[in-house]
Amino acid sequence: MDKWILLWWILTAACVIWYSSITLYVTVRGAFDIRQMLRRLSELGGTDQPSQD
Amino acid sequence: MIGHLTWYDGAIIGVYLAATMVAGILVRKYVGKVEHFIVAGREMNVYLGIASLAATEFGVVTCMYTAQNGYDKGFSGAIPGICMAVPMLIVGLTGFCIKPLRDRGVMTIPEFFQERFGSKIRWMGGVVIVLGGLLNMGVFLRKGGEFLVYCTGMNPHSLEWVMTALLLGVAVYTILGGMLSVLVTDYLQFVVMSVGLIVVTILILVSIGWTTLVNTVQTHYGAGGFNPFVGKDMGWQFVVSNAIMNFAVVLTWQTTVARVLAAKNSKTGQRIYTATSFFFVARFLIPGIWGIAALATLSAGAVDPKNTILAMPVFLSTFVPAGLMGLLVAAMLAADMSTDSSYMLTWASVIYNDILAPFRRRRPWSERKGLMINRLIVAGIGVFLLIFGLWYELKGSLWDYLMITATIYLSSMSVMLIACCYWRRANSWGAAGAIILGAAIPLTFLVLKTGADPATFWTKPVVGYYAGMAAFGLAALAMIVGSLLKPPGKKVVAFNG
Repeated sequence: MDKWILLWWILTAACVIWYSSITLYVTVRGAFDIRQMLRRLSELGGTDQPSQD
Repeated sequence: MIGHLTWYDGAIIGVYLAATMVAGILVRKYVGKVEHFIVAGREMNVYLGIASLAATEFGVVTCMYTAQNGYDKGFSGAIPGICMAVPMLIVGLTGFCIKPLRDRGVMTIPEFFQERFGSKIRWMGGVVIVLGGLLNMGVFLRKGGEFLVYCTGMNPHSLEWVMTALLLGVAVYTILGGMLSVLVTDYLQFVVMSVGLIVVTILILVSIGWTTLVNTVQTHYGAGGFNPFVGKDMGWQFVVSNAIMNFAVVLTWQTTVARVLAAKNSKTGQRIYTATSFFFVARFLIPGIWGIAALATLSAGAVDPKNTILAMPVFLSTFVPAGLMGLLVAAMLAADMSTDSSYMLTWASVIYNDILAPFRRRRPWSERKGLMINRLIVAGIGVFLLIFGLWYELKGSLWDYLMITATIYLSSMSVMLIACCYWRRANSWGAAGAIILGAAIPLTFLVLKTGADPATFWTKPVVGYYAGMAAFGLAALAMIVGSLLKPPGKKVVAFNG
């Protein structure tokens, strides 16, 4: 059973550390992704053509 | 002061809600085509994809059932998270199924099946996806409302109003901006939700302590609280059924796959999967720890043993201090709104793209008409959720209900996707058999369980695990037998002949 407790301890520590780090990283890089996506959609524009299946 | 909320808690929640609504509504101007509405013009990059996938797949309902697992099963209840993280990492690294799916440029999974299995199978696929998806999502709203009411100490009679307000807020920006609004709000919601989850978890670990959590699980569940293979109501059946179902979720759960389909290319989709995989361990373990903390701190009479799902919100209402409560509620609102918006949009996109496909084959609809119909479908799903959420009272484990309803389509769609990508002999007969058998078993089980006395055979958890495994096994068998029975070279009949 000790091995299982160790596994859950490692996973809990990894969750807190990994999740904190990825939140910071994604917060910064995700904002750039949104800007890039909206700029690209602006360039492409919308049309009123029949939709494709 | 409302319940446990002070004015500065209210200010935090208000700022979050205002920012989300403004951002969600502002991006509507970029929606000019159906493709923008359903898959954001396929312009999504990796980090936005990670935020969106994580936010979508963590709702209040997720937090409730994973915390219930922690309360009822100890650490072993977090095993489904590992069962999902591993296949997601493997699929992300190898591109198994998702690479051909994204490379084909489709908007939904049934659309991918059309070329191989024909229009009828596409339509049938769409129907079971929507049936399973809506039954699954039907309980989200009530659970979200229950969390907010119990956690904040609001009057329980206000539950219906909380649900309605939640849904209206989400529906407004989803109807206007589709996937673009969903992605932008998902990003904001990911940030708020993650900060709330991390802060509350650290507070629990510091205040209650790891040793107390471990001792609590040891006292209540013994070895089974740590090792799922020996846990009560678990065993190998729980682990194997979760492993199979989560593998299918990674491949074919439409809200998850929608992120691959909205990605710039298949490589981006694979990177999103790889980078997000470990999040699914956190998705089960973090609320699981909240549930264990509830078990450690609440007195015996504080929670109805038949309704342990409320243990976590009751615990948080007494544990989280003022100020932080505002952050927690904002985080949970973020989690709920991101999930509801994505799920509403996803099932709507399947109804539009696949179930309504025969109606626009002869005369294609204009983009304007397509957008309008998509928006009407999203609104219709919102109304359904409100009605279903109000009258359907869930009995037993929420996770078991979600597993069974998801299996209605996961069993057949995962078998069909794998066969479509990697088995040349797969054909429409096999696909039809997989859909029928894959849906029949979980639906039959759900009906039997709903009407059964609590002490009967059908309500035992292990029966649900067997039903889930049987659905996958028989769907695969039907695919093999049906495909082998159909004479090679026989053409599939399409809706338009």
